[in-house]
Amino acid sequence: MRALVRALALVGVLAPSPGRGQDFAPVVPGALSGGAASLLDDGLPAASDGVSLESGITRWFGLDALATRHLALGAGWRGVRVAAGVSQTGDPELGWTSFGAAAGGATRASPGLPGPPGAGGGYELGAGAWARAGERVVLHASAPQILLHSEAPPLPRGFELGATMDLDDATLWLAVRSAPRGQPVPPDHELGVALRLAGVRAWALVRDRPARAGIGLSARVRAIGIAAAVESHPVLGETTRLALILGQGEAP
Amino acid sequence: MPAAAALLAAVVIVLARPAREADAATPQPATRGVAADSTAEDPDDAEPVEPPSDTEDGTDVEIEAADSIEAGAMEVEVGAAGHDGSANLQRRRVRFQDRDISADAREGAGDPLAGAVFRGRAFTIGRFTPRWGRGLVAGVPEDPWRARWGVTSPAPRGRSLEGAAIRKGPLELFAGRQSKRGLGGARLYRGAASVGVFANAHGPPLASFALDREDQSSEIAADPAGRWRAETRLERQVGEAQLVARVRGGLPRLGAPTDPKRSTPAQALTLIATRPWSSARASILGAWWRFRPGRVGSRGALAVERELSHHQRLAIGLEEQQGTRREIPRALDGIRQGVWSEWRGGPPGLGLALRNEIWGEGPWVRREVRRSSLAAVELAGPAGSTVRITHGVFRVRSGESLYLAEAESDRLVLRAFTGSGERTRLDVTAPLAEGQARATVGMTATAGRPPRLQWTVDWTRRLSTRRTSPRTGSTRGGGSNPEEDG
Repeated sequence: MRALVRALALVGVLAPSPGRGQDFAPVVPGALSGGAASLLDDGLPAASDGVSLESGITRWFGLDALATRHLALGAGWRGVRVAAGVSQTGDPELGWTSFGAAAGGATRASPGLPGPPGAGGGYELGAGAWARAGERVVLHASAPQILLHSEAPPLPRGFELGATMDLDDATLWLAVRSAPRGQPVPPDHELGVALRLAGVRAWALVRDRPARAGIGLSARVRAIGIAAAVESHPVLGETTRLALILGQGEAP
Repeated sequence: MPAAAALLAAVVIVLARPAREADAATPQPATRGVAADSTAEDPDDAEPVEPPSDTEDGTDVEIEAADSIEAGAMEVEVGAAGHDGSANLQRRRVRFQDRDISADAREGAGDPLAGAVFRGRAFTIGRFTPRWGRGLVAGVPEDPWRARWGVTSPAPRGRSLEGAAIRKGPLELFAGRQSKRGLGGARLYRGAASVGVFANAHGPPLASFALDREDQSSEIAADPAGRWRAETRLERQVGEAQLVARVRGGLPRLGAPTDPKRSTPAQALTLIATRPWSSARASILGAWWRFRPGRVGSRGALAVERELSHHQRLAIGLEEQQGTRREIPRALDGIRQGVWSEWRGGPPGLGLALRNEIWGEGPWVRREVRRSSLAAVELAGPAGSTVRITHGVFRVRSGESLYLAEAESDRLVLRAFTGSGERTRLDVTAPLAEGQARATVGMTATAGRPPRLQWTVDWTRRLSTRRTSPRTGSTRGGGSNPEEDG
C-alpha cells in the first residue's frame, strides 16, 4: 500500500511560485497564478478570493505510463484559503495515489489511500509563504517537504526562494531551488518571462542543472480557462501538460 | 599600498571631529558581566553570523542574551532543554535589578552559562569578566575582523573568572580564579585615565595604562621583559559618515604564553565607515591583522541596508576574507568570498524574512564552500502570543562550518552546521500563569543521518519589587513582598 498525503501549511496571502512537484504541479507557473494546484504544490495561496476547480494531466518525459492526472479544488473567502486535491500517477496497479490538503494559516493531513500491494503509506508536510516587497515585486518561499514520514516521496523537492516582478503586460520571475534533503548538489535556478497578448498569456522559462527550457500558453473565456505547456529535458525528453480551470484563476 | 591607504584613512579619522554620540561599545571602567554586553550576534541582524574566535570548529556556542530588566524588577525563569538521545537539562535563572544592586544567578546541570554574579555600586562578586581599557590585559580584546557597529566581541565563558572586585574612590581591585588559575589586578583611575597592574599566578605581571573617552579609548600594556602591546579606538564623524578606526600594535607575545586558540593578533588595523543615504545605509569594513610573521589575515566587507515602504527592510552584503583568525593553522584558512541578501517585511501581525548566503573559495564566489537559504514566518496571536517558523537549507563543505543564530529566552545559540541538510524550527510564545511561556522545537536533517531534534521549554515571570501607592501611583523601593509587575 502506498499513499502519499501532502499537507501544506500556508501563511500569507499571495502569489506565485514556479515550483514543480509531481502530484499537483500547476500547469500555469505559480508566478502567474496562485490557484488550487499552487496551494497544494507549493503552499502558496491565491491573492484573491474565489472558488476554482482545476483538472490537469501531465505526461512526464513522454512516458504515457508515467502520466499524472490531478483534480484540485480551491476556495478563498476573506483571506482564508483552502484547497484539496487528488492525483493519480501511472496505472492504478503500478502507480500511486496522492491526496493533498492545504489551508492558509492552518495545517491538516488526510489519511492515505490504498495503493499497490507491498508499498507503505506515508505523508509529507510543507509550508509556503509570500509577501509583497513593493508595488511590483513579490517574494516567496516554499518548503514542500519539511516533514517526511515513511516512504520517500516520488519526487524529492527542495526549498525554494523566488521573486516575481510584474511589469503590466509582462511578468518576470526568478527562483532558486535548493537540492532536496540529502543531496549534496548545488541548487538549480529558474528564470521565466510571461507576456499578455490579446486575451492570451504566453510564457517561457529556462532552468539549469541541466539546461532546459519550456513554453506555455493559457487563455480564459469568462470562468473557463485552459492552459498547455511543454518543457524539454536534454536527457529525459519532453514533458507536456494540459489543464482545464473553472472559476477563479489566472486572467490573461 | 594597502597599508598606506589604511594609514591615510586613519589620519583622516584622527583629524575629523569626534562623533556626536558615544558608541555603545565604549568600554566602561567598571567590571562587567561575562557576556552582558554580548550582542555581537542578533538573529534579526542581517550580517552573517561570526562565532567567537576561540570556538571549536563545528561546535555550537551559547551566548548570554543582552537583554536587561528595569530597575526595581525581579525575573524568575525555569526551563528545560534537551535533544533526542539525551536526558533533559533543567535550567533555572533568577535575576534582580535595583537602583544600586543587581544579581543574576543561573543554575542547571550542563548549562554553559551557569553561574552567579552579584553587583553593587562598589563591588562585584561571582562570575564576571573584568575589563580594562581595550581588554589587552584584563578582559577580551575586540576581534579586528568583527564588523558589527558598536558591539564588542562575545566574551567566552572560559575567559570569565570566579572572584570579586571592589571599587573605592579611584581604586579598583579584583581577584579570582580563571581556568583554575589565580589572578588579580589593581588599578587607579582619574577621570578618563587609569593605570593598573595585573598579576597572574602562572605568568609575569602586566602593567596597563588606559584612556577611556566617548570618542576614543586607548590602552598600552607591558610586561617586565619589555614586551608591549597598544591599541587605540577612535570614532569620528565626517560629514554624514561615521568612521571608526581601531589600531593595535606590539610584539607577538605579551606576558605568559597564551592558549593559541585564544590568542589575539598582535598587530591589527580596522576601519569601519557607515553613511546614511535617505532611507539606505552603507557600511564598509576593512581589516588587517597579524599574529606573528606568516600568520596574517584580512577582511573587506560592504553592506547596504535599505528601509522600504511598510516597514520592509532589504540588506545586501559582500565580502572577502583572507588568512587566518587563529595563531595555529586551520583547514579553514584561505580566501573566502561571500555574498548575502536578506529581506524582511510582511503585513501587520505577519512577518516574513527571506535570506540567502553563499561563500566560495574562488574568485566571484566560485568553488562554493558554504551556502544557506532560509525563510522565517512569524505570526502574532492574541494576548501577545507568537508563532515563529523558520526553515532553511544549508550545504557546507566538509571541514567548514556554517553558523545560524537562534534566540532562546535567555540566550543566543550560534548553531553550527556542516554537510548538506535542512533546519526547521518552531518557536511558540504565549502568556501563561501570569508569566510568559516559550517552547521551541528544532529539527536538523542531514544526509545519511536520521533527523536530530532539539527542544526547549521555559517560563518567565517578571515581578516588581517596589510597592505602588494606590493613591498617588508613586513607587517606593525595598518592599519585602514582591508584587507583580503591572
